Amino acid sequence: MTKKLNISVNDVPRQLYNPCSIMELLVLLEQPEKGVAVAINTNIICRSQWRQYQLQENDQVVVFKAIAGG
Amino acid sequence: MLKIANKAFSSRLFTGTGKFNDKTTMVAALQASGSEMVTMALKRVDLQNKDDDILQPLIANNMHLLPNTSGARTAKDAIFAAKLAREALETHWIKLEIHPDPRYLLPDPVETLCAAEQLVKEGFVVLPYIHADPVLCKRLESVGVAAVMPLGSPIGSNQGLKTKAFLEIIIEQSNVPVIIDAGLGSPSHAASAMEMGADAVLVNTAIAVAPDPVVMSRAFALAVQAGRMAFETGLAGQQQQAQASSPLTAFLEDVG
Amino acid sequence: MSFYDYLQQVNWDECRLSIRSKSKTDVECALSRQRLTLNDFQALISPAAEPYLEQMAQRSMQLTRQRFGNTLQMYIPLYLSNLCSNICTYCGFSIHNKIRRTTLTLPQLNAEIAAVKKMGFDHVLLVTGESEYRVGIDYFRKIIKHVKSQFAHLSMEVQPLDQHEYEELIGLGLDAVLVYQETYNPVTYAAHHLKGKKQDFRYRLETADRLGKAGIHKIGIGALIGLDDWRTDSYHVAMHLDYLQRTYWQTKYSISFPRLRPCAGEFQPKSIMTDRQLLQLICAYRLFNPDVELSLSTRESAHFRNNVLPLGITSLSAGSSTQPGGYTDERTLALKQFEISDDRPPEQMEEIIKLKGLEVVWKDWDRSLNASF
Repeated sequence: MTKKLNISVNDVPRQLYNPCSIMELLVLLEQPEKGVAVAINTNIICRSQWRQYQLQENDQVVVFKAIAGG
Repeated sequence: MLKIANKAFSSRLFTGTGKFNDKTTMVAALQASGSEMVTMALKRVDLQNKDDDILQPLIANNMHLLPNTSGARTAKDAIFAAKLAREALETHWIKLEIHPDPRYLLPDPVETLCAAEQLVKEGFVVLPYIHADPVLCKRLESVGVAAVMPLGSPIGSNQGLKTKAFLEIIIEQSNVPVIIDAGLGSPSHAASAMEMGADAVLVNTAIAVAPDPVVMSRAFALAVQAGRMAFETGLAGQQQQAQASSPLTAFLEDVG
Repeated sequence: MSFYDYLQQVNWDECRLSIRSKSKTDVECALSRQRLTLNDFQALISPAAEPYLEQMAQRSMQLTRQRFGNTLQMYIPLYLSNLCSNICTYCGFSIHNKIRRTTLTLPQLNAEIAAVKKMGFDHVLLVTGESEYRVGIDYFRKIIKHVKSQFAHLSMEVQPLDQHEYEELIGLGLDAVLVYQETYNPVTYAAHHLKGKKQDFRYRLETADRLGKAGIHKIGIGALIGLDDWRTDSYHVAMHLDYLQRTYWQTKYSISFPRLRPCAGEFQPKSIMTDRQLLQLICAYRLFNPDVELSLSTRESAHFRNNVLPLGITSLSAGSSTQPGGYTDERTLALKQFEISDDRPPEQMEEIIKLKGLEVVWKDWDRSLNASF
């Protein structure tokens, strides 16, 4: 039986199928792997942990991206 | 050759990637500038609207990426932003900028020194954007920053080297490279900065919003080269005051 | 990183040749610049700059007055001991010279202090030979607090010490330390320092680094003119100053330019510097660095001192004796470190300084803001 997982991504609520890793979430969000950083509940998650890290119920995910700037 | 934290740069012009009309113009302008290091910012992804991906062309052009901490208002914000940038761009380099003031974006010296010390301890190569304050530069140097980036005038103002007298002191005293950042509005400003002995300049607005950014970035590149060349060979100075009439050294002729 | 590491990148002979090869154009270029580089300094001490001495003097005087005002600081050396465990070919205190050795006892020191205070001095320079065990940190520890309670400014010219020792003495009231490298050429240095701890070129060279780290208020540097080519040595002093100012930016600096004079040893200088060249050097230092203090001792003649004192100098000794007990005991004449050339008393010096339009400053400094003594 598949469980549902309720999280928020950049303050927007979102429902996912459990389990879901950060890497899988980025694919769902159509984000490239390069140039992106992820924080969960204000902790920055290292790139090397993106595959193992399983999202938990109520996680607040924030995705950052490198953009043009001076 | 300019060296920052053991990385050598053959161009002394660094550029920002902000405020360009489009990605194609930006890439063309950066190529024309000969710049080897460009700044980038970080922000929350807008999941509704897809952003332009500017990272790929920068990497394709072999640019050394220098993420900044813009948006940070405190040391804590900046440290968080630096760590995000390290993950996003896989670099330890960070342009540390903290401006609590949204109007002129003037840097906060107290927060900057505090953040710089922390970031250096965590292994970052820190390039702080600061006011042209010679004492602050020495304090930053002593906590281990890789370069200092004093401003010429308020960011985006294109007013040139309003802080000249202080930049001269900073350049005279510094043991780390001095990169003049912010306010350089024309190639002649950049040339003056280099003639004074700055190690490099960072230009963004003046190139990005020029009628033809590609031509303007080429103009800045030439100005930086000319200024550096003049500094290295040594400028001819101006004539000092006329000689006083009563000689001070005649006593040496006396047979004592 | 210390100045020793810095010097590893510098070649003595290349410096010497570079200075020799400076042209009139190089000198004119240096003279027309607002901020001078080390390369400009080379031009100003080169033979090519000799015809420009009047111009250099004019500019040097103007910069000095602009930065220091119409004043001259007076100080006096107070010799505590002529004990020394070094052999230095040029020095009267050298261990192989048969002179009577003495170290001031507390009553003798008090008599000297009283004599010096009576002359009007409030800035004192304590001098010793280099006798690590008999006149070492224990002696200084005892003396400094005592002397400091009676003078506004206390500087010291003794053997180089360790950083923690300097830190301790600063805490007791030490304001400035003078340590001259004698020569920055390690080969010549070795030829003149034949015995004793002073043979360690590197330890002496890094003294200013240790002082800077210890947080001293002022460091005095210099070369003993005459041991090696004076131009190359003076250029090294300028490099040293430049390095120190960048690295220990909270510290003040002073430069002295002792010229070798006959002393108890039979040593004769290798290079002779004329009066004209000494003035050239003083002006070059001033043009290169408008902020550095320049100090002139009584080694120089009255005629030279009278005329040079407005041109770039900021501090002056007068009425000096270079022997322990010299201000109170008339009999101890055989113990001098070097010969005094200008023996005019301080009050006469003050008159001359006034005639030059300058004011004598006996005290310009107080540690009241951070003093606990």
